[in-house]
Amino acid sequence: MKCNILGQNVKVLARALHALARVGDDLFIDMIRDRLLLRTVNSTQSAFAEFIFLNRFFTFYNLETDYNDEPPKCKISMKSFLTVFKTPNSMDRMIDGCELSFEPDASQLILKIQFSNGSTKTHFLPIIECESLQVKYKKNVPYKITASAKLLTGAVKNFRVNEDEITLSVSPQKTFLKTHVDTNTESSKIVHTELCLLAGEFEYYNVGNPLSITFCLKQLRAVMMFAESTSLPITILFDTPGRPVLFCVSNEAIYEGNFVVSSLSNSDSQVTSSQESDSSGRISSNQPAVINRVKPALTNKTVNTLESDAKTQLVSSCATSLSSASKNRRQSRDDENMDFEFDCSNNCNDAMDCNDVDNQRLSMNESNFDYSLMNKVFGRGFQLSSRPFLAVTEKVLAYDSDGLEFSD
Amino acid sequence: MKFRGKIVEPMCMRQFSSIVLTLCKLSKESVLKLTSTQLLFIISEDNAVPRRTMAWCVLDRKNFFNEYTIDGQGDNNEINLQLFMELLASSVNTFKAVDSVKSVKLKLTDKITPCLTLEIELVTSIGHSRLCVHDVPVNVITRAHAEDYAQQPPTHNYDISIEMPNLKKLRFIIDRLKKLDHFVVVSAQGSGHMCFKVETHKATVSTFFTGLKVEKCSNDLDEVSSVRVDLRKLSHFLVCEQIHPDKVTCHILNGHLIHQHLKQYDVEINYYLMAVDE
Repeated sequence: MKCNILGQNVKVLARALHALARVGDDLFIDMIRDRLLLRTVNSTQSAFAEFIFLNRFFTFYNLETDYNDEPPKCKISMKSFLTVFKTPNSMDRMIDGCELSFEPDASQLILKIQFSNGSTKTHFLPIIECESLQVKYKKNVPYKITASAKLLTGAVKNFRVNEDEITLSVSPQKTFLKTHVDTNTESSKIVHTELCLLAGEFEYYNVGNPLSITFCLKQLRAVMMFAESTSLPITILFDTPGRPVLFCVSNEAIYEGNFVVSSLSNSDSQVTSSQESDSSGRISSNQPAVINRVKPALTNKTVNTLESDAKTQLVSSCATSLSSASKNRRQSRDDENMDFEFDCSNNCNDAMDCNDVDNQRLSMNESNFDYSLMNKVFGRGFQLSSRPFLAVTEKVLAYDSDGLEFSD
Repeated sequence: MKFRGKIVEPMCMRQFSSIVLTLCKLSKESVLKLTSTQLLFIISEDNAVPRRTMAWCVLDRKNFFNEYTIDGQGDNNEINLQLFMELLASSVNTFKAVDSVKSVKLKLTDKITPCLTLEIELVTSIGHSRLCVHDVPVNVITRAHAEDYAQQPPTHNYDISIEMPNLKKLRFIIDRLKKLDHFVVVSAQGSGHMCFKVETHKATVSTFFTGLKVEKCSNDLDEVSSVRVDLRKLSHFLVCEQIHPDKVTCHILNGHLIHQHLKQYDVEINYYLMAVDE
């Protein structure tokens, strides 16, 4: 397959890569009919990001394969790709265009960069594996707000640089952004920040009942970085706590970016599943620490603005979390109501056995809990030998049974 | 106990945040003393028994706050709060980072823990005002313990009071010397000479400054007053160059103490460095 990109668009691609690099360490490249997909998932699999570039983005786009053939796909290290696009700011001035090509069975991805001074630089990026990453998520969720990147960056600037998670509380008139207070940390050690945004400041605001949702700020920062440079608005789509939050940046019919981030569930400890499943091909020099998302959530449905209520609410939400924990688990078993989870199977075309997936998740959930604790005690280098080892060739990230699916 | 203050002038906000950010580098913890006329940051030396004041920073409330009400403890009408400077600094840092700050309100509130609440009023692009609230957790110091922080360390009959050389230059030099040893000998003469000397068994490095203004000298002009101090602590003080002081004076009590006195219009920082024995 082969595709060409022109000057200005190279900059967009570079920005997209930088945003993806903030999420994961590996880059999955897929070519499906008229679109190029760049995807990544973070090491704890709590966040997934993809960029879709339609063929109109390219000056030349050719798959060079029959429709019967398997579409070209590969996985490369994010670091190797980033070295090609180190400086997105000055790229459009220096670069005329770039050409991306690879053969179905090749071991290298070839990136030719045409500089405006007439020289050409060719990069050969090693392909780690021929695999792809698939994610199912749905976009028709009850809550949808769209804001300019400027508004969001202005708001997020008020938070500490090392803030991990924030709570977004929405109500028909107002939106609050708050520091997420973990029950484990002492309240005397953290600054509690709260910011109020009015509904009128958003470009689109569709909010029903008041709702609070907590998610990781890191991925939002990545989206904001991309959106700011392309001056596109960010759409935030979300559902009840525990379900993933989706950040979308879209330039109609040319390219779009979707970032799916897991949110802290209201009651149960969060689904964690860390991807350490590999040995052969993975070149990841720095394995990030397993993010501990196993924590009792404190978020409550009601928007808490009254300061005096804080204490009582804290107690009550802890109580409800205990009672609903078991219920939730049962529910997820019965209804296959799985939220943003990972499955490793050897064949993507086979229909997934949802029960299997669910069981696997629950078992992984438990082992992960231990694992993360172990990690805390022994440091990140510690590996639990009893962890299931799975050879991965195809990954399916399922969100909902009726969810939208991009892959075929 | 009540406290409420409001800063409106952008200059004052900037000044306040730069002071907090500077002090944040001196120590993790600090005591904020609020009185009817002044705001004081009192920083104690780490691991010193009994407690010893290392920095005493005075901010005149009239020059910072447009509104200021305090209802404190005791006859002096004071409130003493213990807080982590880093937490306050991170909240204060946003007035610097974010433009279009309309006003900043400081309040003492009782949430889950007692908090010093900063209410920052921002102006949005569509002209509405937006409120950002930071709750910085604090510990209220009881009246019995507040005595510790009641008095500024006494001024001694110093051997010499000399103007400090340019802090920026000195900081550059001191940071280089840090690599050699942990201690530095600071010495001054009535003739306007000042010397910073690091002695190791391999080398002795001295930096001389001349032509400095001597304010007071109780000995002969040629007599040298010197103090051996912790190099790291001296370099912490030199961070204060960030607030562009008008005048910095170094008071030396031979063999005992260095008292740095920094003055800038409405702010005063006193920094005490005890001598370290060989």
